[in-house]
Amino acid sequence: MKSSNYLDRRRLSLCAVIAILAMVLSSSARVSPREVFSAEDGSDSCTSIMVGRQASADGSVITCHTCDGNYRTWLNIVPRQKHAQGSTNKIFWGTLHTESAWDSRGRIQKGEIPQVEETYAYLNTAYPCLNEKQLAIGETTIGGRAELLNDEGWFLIEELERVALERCKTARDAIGLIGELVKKYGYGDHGECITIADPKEVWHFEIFGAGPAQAGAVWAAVRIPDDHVGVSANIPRISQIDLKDPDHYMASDNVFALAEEMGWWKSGDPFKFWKAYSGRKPFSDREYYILSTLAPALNLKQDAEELPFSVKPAKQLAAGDIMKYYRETYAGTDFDMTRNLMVPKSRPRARGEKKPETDEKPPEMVKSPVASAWMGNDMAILLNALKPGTVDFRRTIAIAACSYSEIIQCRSWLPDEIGGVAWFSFDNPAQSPRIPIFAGVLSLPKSFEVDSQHRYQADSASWAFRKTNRLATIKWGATRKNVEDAIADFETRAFDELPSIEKIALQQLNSGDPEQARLKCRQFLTRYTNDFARAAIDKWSELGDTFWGLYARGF
Amino acid sequence: MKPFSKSLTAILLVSALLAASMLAAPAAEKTEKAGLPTLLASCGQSPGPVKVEVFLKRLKLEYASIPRATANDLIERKKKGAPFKSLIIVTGASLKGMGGAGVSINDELERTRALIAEARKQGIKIIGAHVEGMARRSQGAMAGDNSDELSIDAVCPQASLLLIRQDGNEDGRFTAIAKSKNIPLLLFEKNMDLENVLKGLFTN
Repeated sequence: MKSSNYLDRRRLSLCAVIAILAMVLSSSARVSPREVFSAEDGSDSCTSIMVGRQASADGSVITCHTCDGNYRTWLNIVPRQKHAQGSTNKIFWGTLHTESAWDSRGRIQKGEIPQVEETYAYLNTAYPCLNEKQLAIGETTIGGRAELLNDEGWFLIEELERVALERCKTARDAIGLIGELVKKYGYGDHGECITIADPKEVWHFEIFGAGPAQAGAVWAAVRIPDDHVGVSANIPRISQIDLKDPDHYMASDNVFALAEEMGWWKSGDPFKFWKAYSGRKPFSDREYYILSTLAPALNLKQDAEELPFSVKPAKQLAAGDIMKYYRETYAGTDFDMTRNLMVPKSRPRARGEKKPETDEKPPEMVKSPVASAWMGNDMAILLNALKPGTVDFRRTIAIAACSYSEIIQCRSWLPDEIGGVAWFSFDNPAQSPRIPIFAGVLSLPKSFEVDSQHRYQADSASWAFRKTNRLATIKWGATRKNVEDAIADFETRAFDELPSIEKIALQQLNSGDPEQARLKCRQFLTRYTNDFARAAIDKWSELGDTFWGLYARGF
Repeated sequence: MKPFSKSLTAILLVSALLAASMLAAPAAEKTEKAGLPTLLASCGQSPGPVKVEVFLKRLKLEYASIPRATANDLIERKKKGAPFKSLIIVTGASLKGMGGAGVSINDELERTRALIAEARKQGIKIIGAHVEGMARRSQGAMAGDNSDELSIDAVCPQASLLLIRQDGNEDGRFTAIAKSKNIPLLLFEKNMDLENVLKGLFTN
C-alpha cells in the first residue's frame, strides 16, 4: 500500500508539472468583455476590507479593492478641472475594457448629466479609487437577485465612483450624491458594493437595480463602527438597518416597499437587506477567514446563518497587516488547496549508490515545488481526476487573475495631499510589491498608462509584474522566497521612508505662497511615487531574468 | 417657389410614410394573441428571460419558467392534460450563463431545435423574443463570438411571432427576418412597455 501510494504521488507530481505548464501556456480568458463586465453570476471577483479609525494602529481609516478579473490595468491621474457653465458630464458604459485614456472602442454613451463648476483630481483606476480630498472608494460585485437588473439605467458602478470622486469630500456626501443620481437617471449595473472612506469614517454601501419595471435603484449603507473592521467579498452582507440612526444607516426610499412588492419580504417580519435582495448566504470563505482571524475570541462558525457585519479586531491593524491579508492563500489551514500536493523529498545519492529496489521506509513527504494556490480550474480538475479529493477548491484572497489592487489609508492628521495614500499593486497581490501613490500626486510613470488587458505590451508596467509573476508561479516552491523577500524589501523601504517623506512634504506645503507651496509639495510627492514605482518595475524585471535562469534547461 | 414647395412636401410625406412602414411591423401587431399557459425558455442562457418573467408575474399570467426547457417538458405537460398554449423563447447568449449551466451554444441550439419541433407538433404558438438590446447582440461580444446571432437564427425564423426590444433591432435584423418569413413583429421601446405588450398579447 505504501509503495503504491508513493508511486501515485510521483505520478501526481509529474502530472502537476505538465498541467501547470499547460495552464500557463493556454489562454484562460475565453470570455467576452461583455461577460466579464456584466458579472451575471455575481462572480467571485473582488475583496474589500474596511478599517475604522480606532481599529487601525495609527488612526487611519482604510478601504481597499482588489480588481480581480480581466479589467483595464491602465491608470492615470485626472487633474482638477474647471468647467464652463452649462457644460455636461457624459456617462459611459464600457470604460472597464478600454486600452488607454483615449480609447473609445466598446464605450457607449448612456447619457449626459449637468456638470459642476469644478471637479476634483482623482486616481483614475478602472474603478476610480481616491481623490485629492482623501475620499477613497473600494468595490466588489455582489450579484443579487436577477429580477433587479434594469439595463436601461444610465449608471454603472464605476461611473458612480468617478462622479462621486469628482464632486465629493466625504463618504456621506458621496452616498447622498449617488442616491440622487441613481434615483434620477437609473442604475443599470448588477448588484455592487462600494466601500467609501474619508479621514473620519468608512461606509459599506450596497446597491441593486429596482427591476425592469421601474427606473432608479434600491440601496442601503452602513457605517463600519470606528473600532471595527468590515469586509465585502462579492456577497451582499448588509443585514438589519435602523434608519432612525442616520449616523450609522442610510437607505433608498424604496428599500422596504420594493422588497414587499416583489414578494421577498412581508411587512411585520424582521427585515434583512441581504435576505430581501440576495437570498444567498451572506458570507463565504473570505469573509469567514478575515473576520474569524481578526477576532478569534468571537469563535465564529462557518455554518452560522450570518456572521457579524463587522468585528472589533483583537489588535489594532497597521497598513502592513492589511497587506498581509491581501497576500493570503490560507496556507496551513483547512482551506489550503495545496495541502494534499505532497511529494517525496528528494535525497541526493552518493556517486555509484544504486537506487534501492524496494523502499526500506516511507519517504519524507514535502510540498511539491510546483504546488501553488493559483493552479486554476484546469489544474484542479486534472488533479482531482487523477485522485478525487486532492484539491478542494477555495477562493483565496490573493488570486493570479487580479488586474490590480489598492489599500487606501485616509489620515485626518495630515493635509489631504499627503494624508491620502493608495498602496497600489499590479497583478497578484501575493506576488507584487505595493507602490505608495499619494492623493496629491500629479502624474504617474508613462508605463502605468499602458494597458495589459487585451494583449502583451512590453512598455506596460503591469506586464513587468505579470510576466515575472507567471514565471514564478510555475515553480512557486523554488521562487517564492525571492518574490516574498522582494515584496518585504519594498514594504520595509516604504514604511521606513514615508515618515520623513511626509515631513518634507509638509514643510514644503507650509512654506511661502500657498499655491506655489502646494505645487512644490505635490511635485515632490510625485517624484517619490514615480521613483518608487520605477524601482519596483526594475526589480521585477530583474527577478524575471533570474527565473529564466532557473528554467534554462526546462521547467 | 410654390411648385418646389409642393414637391418637397410630397417628398417629405412619402419619406415619412416609407420610414413609418419600415419601422412598423410587417403584420398587424395589435391583433396578435397568444394562449396561456405559456412556457418561458431561453436559447443561450442570457438574463433576458428573467426580465420577461418579472412582467409575466406582475400581470399574474399563468406561466412556467424553464430556462433549459426540452421537448420532453412539453410532452409531459400535455400528458398531464394541461398543455402549454404558447412558448416564449428568449434569444441572446451568455457565456457565463451557459458556463454556469454546463452547456455550450451547440447544446443550446440542439435543445432548442427539438423544443421548437415538439411545439410545432403540438400546435403551440412560438414567440421568439430578444429583450436586451444591442448589448446582447454583436456589440460588446468578443471577436469571433457569434453565439448571440446563432441563438437568434435558431429561434426567430421558426417563430410565429417576434417580440423585440427596439434597440436590439438597430441594424434591422429582426425586421428582415419578419419580412422574409412573414412573421408578425412586435417592437417595444422601453422595458416598461413590455408589460403592455404582454398584456395585449395574453389578455382579451
